[in-house]
Order: sequence, then structure tokens, then C-alpha cells
Amino acid sequence: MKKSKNLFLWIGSSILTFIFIISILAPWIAPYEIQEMDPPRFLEDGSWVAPPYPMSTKHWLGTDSNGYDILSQLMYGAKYTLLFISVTSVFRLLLALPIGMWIGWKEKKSTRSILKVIQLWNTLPILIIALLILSAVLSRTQSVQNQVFIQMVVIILLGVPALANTIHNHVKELKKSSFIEGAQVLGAGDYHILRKHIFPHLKPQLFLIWVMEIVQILLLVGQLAVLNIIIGGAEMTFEISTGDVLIKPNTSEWTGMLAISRYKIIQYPSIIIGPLIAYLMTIMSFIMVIEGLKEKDDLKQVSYELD
Amino acid sequence: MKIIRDFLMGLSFITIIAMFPTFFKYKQNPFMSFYHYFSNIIKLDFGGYKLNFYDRFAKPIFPDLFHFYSKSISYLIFSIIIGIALGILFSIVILLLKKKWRKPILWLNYFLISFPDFLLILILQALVIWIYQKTGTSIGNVYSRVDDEAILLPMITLSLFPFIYTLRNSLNTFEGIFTKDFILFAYAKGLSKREIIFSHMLKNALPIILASLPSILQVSIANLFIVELVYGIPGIMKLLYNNQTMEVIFPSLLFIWLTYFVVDVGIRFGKKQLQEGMAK
Repeated sequence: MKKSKNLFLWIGSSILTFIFIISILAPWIAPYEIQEMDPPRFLEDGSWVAPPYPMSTKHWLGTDSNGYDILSQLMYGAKYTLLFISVTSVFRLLLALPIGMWIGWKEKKSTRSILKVIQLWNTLPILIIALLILSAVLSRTQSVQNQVFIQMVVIILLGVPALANTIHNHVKELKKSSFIEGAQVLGAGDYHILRKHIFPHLKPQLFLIWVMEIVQILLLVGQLAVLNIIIGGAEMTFEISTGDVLIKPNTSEWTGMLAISRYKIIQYPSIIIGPLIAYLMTIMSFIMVIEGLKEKDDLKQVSYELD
Repeated sequence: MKIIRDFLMGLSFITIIAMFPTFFKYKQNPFMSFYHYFSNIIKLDFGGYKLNFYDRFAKPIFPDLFHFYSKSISYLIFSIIIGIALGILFSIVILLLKKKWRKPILWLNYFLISFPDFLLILILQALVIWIYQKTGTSIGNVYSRVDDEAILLPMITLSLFPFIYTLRNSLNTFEGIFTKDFILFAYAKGLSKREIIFSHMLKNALPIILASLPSILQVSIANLFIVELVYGIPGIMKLLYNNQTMEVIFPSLLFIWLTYFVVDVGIRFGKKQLQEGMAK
């Protein structure tokens, strides 16, 4: 019984390791090059076929409307998705940790007013604000690096207040413990207590908070992609066979691929299956890690906070 | 007093956010646009909107905004009520089940609570169209038209999160209450499980479930944004998305935020009253 308890943690972390290894090895193991297209071609009886090609032994997950192999695109795109979510979540944590610890520890008039501002900011809908700001700031003429940088900064900054509030709650809980009181009686300073007594007790919970933050960023990025804000931007091309307008994401990032391919879900369901499974698998394995971590004894008191 | 201070602070946040697009998109001085907007408001000129990008003329925003708002809010309120009611119902059913069956349902719960709403919409739309192609019966509208609005699919999408959240929350609280003395006493007196659940536990769990309303509302508002845009419902979120100007962002964001704010303040006030009543 005890062994099966952390089945979630095992499955989740092994799937994530698998995705991570694939993202590193993509240039060697992907069946096609990233820019390799499968153009429209004539068949022997004189008729012709155009992408998207369905699933076959040549293309395991089919091709998209431009003729790119979806499996290879997913393999190359994994590093963009993983890098984006990990960088944004780490920076969120790095910015929110000192703020949250300070306002949780010091109960002065200034910290209390900062807390009020933070808590009020959390009542605003983050998705709508992110959309308004990003669609105002981004333009198609910017380079891919600039667009990714701007998106990262906006997503990081909008998430910091909520995270600082969460950390503040944990620190406030820890502050009631007797060992803190003991250190205060012995004459330890604020900085010393925060560094030597509070931070070590916060450390195991910080990992869980970090994973939760990753799930939230994944959801936010996916929602933004559906609202046409794709990481790294996109460019317009034309479909070869019909002349329809096609949107091609600049990076083969998963949420972007998912959002773009949803327009063709009825005609060509094979386009969406690959990105859908990849995105869902990532998000579900992160959730498995969260639930597995919560089963651990030292993390049981952390509640599942959504915002 | 505190409420007025919070309201003014939220108002200033929204003003700053509303100034953002004018600054970056239209390259205007944000303070000048701010000044123009509020000086026009004093002259009772609230600006105009175009719901679709191909509309030729802008309509005056003000009486129409209430119409859009009431449409959005009716979707929100009905879906949350349905979600919470189903959540409580299902949690009672699960409690009446044997322990063996509870675990798989809890596992399902873990995965559904963070299920991306836009994927759910996508799957539902594709499913309805697929069923229509196979059998010829249409379950619900996939996209809103002027005379025929999509109702069933948006409701399912919107009520999933309240349902799962309430289910999880109420199961947790029920299990917490199970070990309390007064429940054990009721058992000892020979009351059946069903009687205990309906007469004792529901009464004690309801305040806790109601207290989770602000966090449900917060997620539901974000989901409503996606739902309105993907299903094409002409509500306040679609208005906001298609008109990113100060004239539209400021009032519509204010209305959206006020919905949350009023519920949050109301729940906090009710909680305080309840605690004071308990103390007496």
C-alpha cells in the first residue's frame, strides 16, 4: 500500500524526463529536418495530393497544412515549451520569494500596505490583462527573440503578486513556530532568521509551489495561444492547394501548434492529435507530480491554490 | 471605509491597464488620452464600439454595455449554480458509495480540475459535429448566430470547473466533518448514514462551500473570456477583445472586476457575521 502511494510522482516525473530527453536529442532522433517540407505531388494516375497528409508510415503523426512533419515539429518544439515555462516560473519565484518572505515576516505599516496592494491586484483577471497588454505591445514586425522576451517579461510580472501572496501565507504560518521565537529571544536579526530558520523550512514547499506555477503558466500560455497570442509570434502563408490564409508559428512551440491546428479539426483531425496529446501529457504529468508531492508527509499542509 | 479604499485602488489599477493599449498601439500620450476620456465622460460622451471588425459605424457604448454585461453574467451565474449544485449532489452520491469506488473518482478529479478549458471546447465542438455527421441529430449549437445562440456547449464548458472544484472541496469537508464528535454521537444514537449526511453534514458544509465562491468566480471569469470568443457569444468579453480602446476597456473591465469584487466583499462580510454569531 505504501509503495503504490507515490505512483503518481513516479509516472509523472518519468514522463517529464522522457519529454526532456527528447527535447535535447531532437536534432538526432527526429525523422525529418525542421525546415523539411513535403510538397504537393502528382500521383501515377495523373491526380495530385497536397498536404496535410494523413498519418502513415512515412509521417507517423501526419503533416500540417504546410507539409511539415508533425512528429519532428513536436520534437523540435519541446525545448521551446519546456524552456519558456521553466524560465518564466523560475523568475516568478525568484522575484516573489524575497517580497513574500519580507511581507510575511515584518508586520509594519509599509509591508501591510504592500500586502493590501498585492491582494487587490490578485482580484483582477490575469488572463484578460495579459491579453490586453500583450496585444498592445507585440507587433508582427518585431523579431522572434524580442517577441519571446516581451511575452516572458509580461507573464513573469503578472504572476509575481499572486505568488508573493502564497509565500507570505507560508511564512506567516512558520512564524508561529516556537523555534522562531527562540531565535528571536537569542537576539537574531531579521535577515538571519529569514535565511537560517525560515528559508530551510520553506524549501520543500517551494518545489511544490514551483510545479504549481508551471501548470498555471502552461494553462495561461495555452489560453493566450487560443486568443492568437502565440509564443514567438507567427507569420502568414498561403495554402498551396486552395489559397486559404494559413498561420505558421515562428517557433514550433506546442501551444502555438495546438492553437493553429484547431481551425482544421473537422477536415483534417490528424493535424491536431499530435500537439493535443503532447500538451495534455505534459500538463497531466505535472499534475501527477503535484499530487504525488502532496502525498509526502512534509508537504501535506500545502493546499491547492488556483488563481 | 475599507471597501471604498479597495474600490478606489481597483479603479486606479483598471485605469492604468486601460491606458496601456492607447500608449503602445496608437502611440498616443497615455495621460492625454486619459484626460480626453475623462473630460468626455463629464460631457456624457462615453465613446463608441464596433462589435465586429467589419461594422461600418461605431455605436455609442453606454446603454448597450448593460445588454452585453447581462448576457455574459447570465451565462456565468447559471453555469456556476449548475456546477455547484451538481458538485454537492455528486459528492453526496460518492459518500454513499463504498470506499472502493471512491478512489478512482478522486483520481479523475485530480486530472479534471486543471483540464484546459480551450481543449474542452475544442473536443466538445468536434464531438458535436462528428455526431451530427454520423447520425444527423444536432445536440447543440457549435457557434452563436444572431438568431440562434449556442447555450448547451458553453454551459457545459463553464460549469465544469465549479463542478469539479465543489466536488473536491465538499468531499474534503465532508470527510473532515465525519470524524467530529457530534457525527459520531449521531451514529451512536442509531441514525443512518443518509440521515446524517442530509441533516447534519450538509448544514455544516454549506458555509465552507460558499466561501470558495470567489476563487470559483475568478477562474470562471477567465474561462468566460475563452468561451465567449470561441463560441462567438456577443457578451462583454467579446466586446472587450474586439475593441481594445480606452473607451471600451475601462468600463467593461470595471464591470467584470466589480462582479468579482461584490461577491468577494459579500462573502467576507457574511463570514464575519457568521463568526460573530458563532462566538455569541
